[in-house]
Amino acid sequence: MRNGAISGKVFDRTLVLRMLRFAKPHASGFVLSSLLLLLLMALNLSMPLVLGKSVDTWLKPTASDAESNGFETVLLPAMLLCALGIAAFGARYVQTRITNRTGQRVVHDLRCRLFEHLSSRDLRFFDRHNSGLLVTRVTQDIDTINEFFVSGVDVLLADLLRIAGISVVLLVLDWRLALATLCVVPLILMWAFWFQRRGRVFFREVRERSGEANGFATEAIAGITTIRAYAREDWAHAGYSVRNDALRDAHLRTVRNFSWFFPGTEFLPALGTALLLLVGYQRVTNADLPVGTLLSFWFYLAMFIEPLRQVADRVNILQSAIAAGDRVFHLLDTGSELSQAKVQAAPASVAGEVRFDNVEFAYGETPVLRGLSFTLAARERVALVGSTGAGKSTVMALMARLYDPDKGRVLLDGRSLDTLPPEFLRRQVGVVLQDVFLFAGTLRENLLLGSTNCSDDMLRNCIVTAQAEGIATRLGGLDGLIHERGEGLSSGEKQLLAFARTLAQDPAILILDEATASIDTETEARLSRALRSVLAGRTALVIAHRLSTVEHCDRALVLHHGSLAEVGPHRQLLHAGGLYSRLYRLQFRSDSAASAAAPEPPLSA
Amino acid sequence: MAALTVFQFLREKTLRASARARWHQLATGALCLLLRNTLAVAAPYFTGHAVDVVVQHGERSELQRMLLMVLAFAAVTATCQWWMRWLLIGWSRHTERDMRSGLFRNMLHLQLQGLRSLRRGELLTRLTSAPESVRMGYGPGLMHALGTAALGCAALGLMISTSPLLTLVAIAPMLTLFVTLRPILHRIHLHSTELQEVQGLLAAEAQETFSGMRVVKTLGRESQRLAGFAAASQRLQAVSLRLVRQRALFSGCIELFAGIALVLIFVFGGRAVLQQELSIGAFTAFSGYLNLLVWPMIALGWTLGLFQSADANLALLEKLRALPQEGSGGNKSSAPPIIEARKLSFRYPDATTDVLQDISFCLSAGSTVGIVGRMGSGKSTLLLLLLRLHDPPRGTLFVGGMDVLDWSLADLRQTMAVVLQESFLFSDTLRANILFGSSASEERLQAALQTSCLLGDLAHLPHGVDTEVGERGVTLSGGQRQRACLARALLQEAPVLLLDDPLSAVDAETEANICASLQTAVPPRTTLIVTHRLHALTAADNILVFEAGALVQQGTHAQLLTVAGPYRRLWRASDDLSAVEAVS
Repeated sequence: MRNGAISGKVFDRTLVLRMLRFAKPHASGFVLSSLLLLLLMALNLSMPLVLGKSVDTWLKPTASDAESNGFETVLLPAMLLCALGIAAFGARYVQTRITNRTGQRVVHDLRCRLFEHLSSRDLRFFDRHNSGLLVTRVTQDIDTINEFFVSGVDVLLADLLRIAGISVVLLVLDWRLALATLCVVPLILMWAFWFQRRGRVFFREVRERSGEANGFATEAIAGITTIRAYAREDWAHAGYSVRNDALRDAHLRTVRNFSWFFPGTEFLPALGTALLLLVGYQRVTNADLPVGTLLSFWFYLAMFIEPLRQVADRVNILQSAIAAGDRVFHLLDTGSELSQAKVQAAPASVAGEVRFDNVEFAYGETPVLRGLSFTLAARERVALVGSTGAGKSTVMALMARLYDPDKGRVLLDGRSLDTLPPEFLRRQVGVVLQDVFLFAGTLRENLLLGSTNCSDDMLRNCIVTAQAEGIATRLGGLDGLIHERGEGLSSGEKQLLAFARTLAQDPAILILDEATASIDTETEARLSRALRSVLAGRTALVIAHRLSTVEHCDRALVLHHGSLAEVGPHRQLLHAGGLYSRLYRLQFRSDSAASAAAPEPPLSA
Repeated sequence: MAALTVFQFLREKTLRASARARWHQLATGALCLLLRNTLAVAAPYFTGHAVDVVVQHGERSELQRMLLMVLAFAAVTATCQWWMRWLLIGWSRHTERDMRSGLFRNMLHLQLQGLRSLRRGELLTRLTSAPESVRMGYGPGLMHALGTAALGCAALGLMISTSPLLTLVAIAPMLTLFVTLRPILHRIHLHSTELQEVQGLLAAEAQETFSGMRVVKTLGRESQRLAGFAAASQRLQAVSLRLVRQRALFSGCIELFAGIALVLIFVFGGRAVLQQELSIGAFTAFSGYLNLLVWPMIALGWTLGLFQSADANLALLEKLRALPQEGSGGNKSSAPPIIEARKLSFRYPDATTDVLQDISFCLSAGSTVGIVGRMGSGKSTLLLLLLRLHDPPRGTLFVGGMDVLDWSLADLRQTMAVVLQESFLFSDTLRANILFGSSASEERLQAALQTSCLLGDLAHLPHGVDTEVGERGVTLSGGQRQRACLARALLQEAPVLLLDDPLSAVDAETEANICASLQTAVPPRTTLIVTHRLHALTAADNILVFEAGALVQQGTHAQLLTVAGPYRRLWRASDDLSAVEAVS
């Protein structure tokens, strides 16, 4: 995992350029806001000038008509100052609005782009990346990038312009005095940047510690029932405390570091003032310099201390924005996508023949499928059998193109899956998964998941077929609410709902992955009868650990450690005396030993 | 009073505790804050005198004396500032830690019902960003506000001593300012509360999509999820902009009014200078004081924003804390773990029907008991009540002769080891997951692995029992996850074992092995097994049959088969199932 460290360099140019490229469609907003900033600077710069000039007129020894002149020398500049102030207020307000609106637009684009990108990654990406971390990327990190556009680039430029502008004005007014005053500027800048550079190390540590604490909390919340059932609250709290303390300590180190920063920026300006007055005294007593100019200098000095002090802050914002940008771009650049390069037009109709052609697939370092080949004829019902970890779920995932195989091909009606448009494929292949995932929302939303081509009546039929009427009634009909992850529903109930969800999709190929594992026998018997009508006219692959449920399939594929061990109809395999018969007999033995009432042993049937 | 309601966050109780515990740090910090801000006015004061020296062509030594004073005071205030920040901000970080720790503990003990009323993403923001927001209020926010107040008093004092009239002129616009700002403040408050909500919504959208990716992908619903996310993002954008506009108005107004004050000083002060009632130096010092106040005043907008978001966040935290907590009885029974129900009825708080109705049974210690019935018949609920993950009514459920409500929660739960229907593993090593905080020996670990038939799987895992299992155990198969949960339960060596459909994803061969080794456990445990696989129960001492929340039959397998009833029907159904499948 990268922490977005941009080691060594203060700014990574390519990163900055890449961020700016996202702003390009909204460039007009930024240009407008920059123009307003220039205007604002001009307005601000003119104020001390007006003040200084007025003081000079007051001090002129032509005080004979002071009474009549008094108001003219005071009121005229006063009105000028008022006008400048109001103009500055307007300019700043409009500028802030424009910058923020533009910035928000840019990050909205970026946020959606990232989200879209992430959801188009293949599943291996999600197996590797903690979902909480991905959420942080599309929320907090993007917000940080917003700062880059809103209070980063623009304001930093404005501050630098202001400092430069003041310097120019000072140099024009009196270059010697200007040099004396300006010599503190590099000192303040050096101080600011030194701290900013030191601070990065501390900030990075804070980010890491905070990630660790949040990660732990996320899991504890998700696994709360387990923690409680084992009375491990103290263990969880201790685990969190360790990380929470580490986070606090990391924070304290940043606090300590930054405590040094502000005193420096307080002392250095005082030094500037002292130098200004010392040199100014010399020049005024020599009558080289009007007092008003000296005062203008003093006002200017006060004016650019603040932006100067903030330069480091701004740079900090930019830095964390760029670091966030780095993390976001890193995500945008990684994760093998399910390639769309070979996609061609969808076929007019689907027969439903599925073929695995020498497929290899590894999960990380562990190979799962080793050169697997088989064919499911159109409308054939096939059972996939094997012990835990034989690769059954992987076969299913490859058939639904949740992954692409590392080697070999998966074909539907003779066409490789990666040549079919993804939406088309997803419509044709319906999957009832082992882990049923329900979203927080209504029953209808959970069954449709955004598809629009299924009416409420059709949906009710699917619910009836899936034996889920009872659950639907209990939830309060199609508009009944389901909690996040279906909490409050039993595993079996969730499986029935998932089954209804798949039926609503009306797929040509149906994959059932351990779909009946947590359903009671009575419901299962009814479901199994309903299935017969549902499966008619579809190609079906059934993965079930109960061998009894596979007897009604046309054939069985027996997987062993990622390759095909046996294949054939149930009875043939049973008599062959291989792996299948061993698994079957074991199941049969436990069934018949239990059942005194069993009418006749299925073996002789 | 908008200005007063803004300090709600000071009611945070962790704050008082932390202030008491670290009062010396807080007091020293406050002293530094006071010194730093009152002494800050020295700079314009001495600068003003220095300007007079320059204007009146005074002695150079006098000027040097003044300038030395400027530097000396700057050095003092700089030192004070260092300590102020280190002590006060440091204190705020300590307090934040306490607050988080307390919140986490609070979450651990919330009743499940309340916990589920919030999405996980929301819970997490309550724990992470809410305390940070509250801290920004009482830490940097309060430090800045109090600093500004102290600075204001000191500056005001010097201003009055320089010229009372001019002071009045300068502060008049400031007073009108507060009237102008009140409606803006109110809107800022509203918008920041809304912003919090929308941010939570956005995070929840993303969280659900990313953790439900497998479903989203198999059903090809990426674009619908994106649409939902984009809508939330759009709302976030709109709310942020509304907030920004009010904030801009706020700081703009302060800047404007400060400007007006400066102009007024210029007009009146300028006249005084012309009429020689005021020296140029005094005039300079005066505008210097005002200047000293302008930046903190502008930053007050930022500070008030901090206060308001601190308030909004504390309100969220208070709501969380107000949710009912699990109650613990505090007693412990060492009697044999007989489990007894007396006329037990139970209904979930928001439900309209009873999940369990008038249930009575008594299970002797050391027996193996099966619980069967159709889905939704209340089997799992019974286990949850035994564990007191939900509270049964008083006088209905007893363990070891004592009402579960009188048991101390920890003792009750340590009496029972459980495999829940949903097999939850933490993203840690397999070993850590099975040990789950206990310090059991390697032999006991191996024994648990053996009984749950995991030993054979270890060879296929890259680092054996020390393999990282990933978030929720994704790198394991469903069956492996269930068996890991079983091993975790077995390691407890608790007198009662509760198994809720523990082997639904395990293949037949493994299941048979596990069942065999479970039944030979020494010493015998009281074991409750909820299952749909009836053949696993043929040797059970007792079987409870549930139907629609009622206990309809009870007895051994052989006894139950002799009478017509739900059990025989379920048993036949499992036979039918094979028959149906054989025919088709």
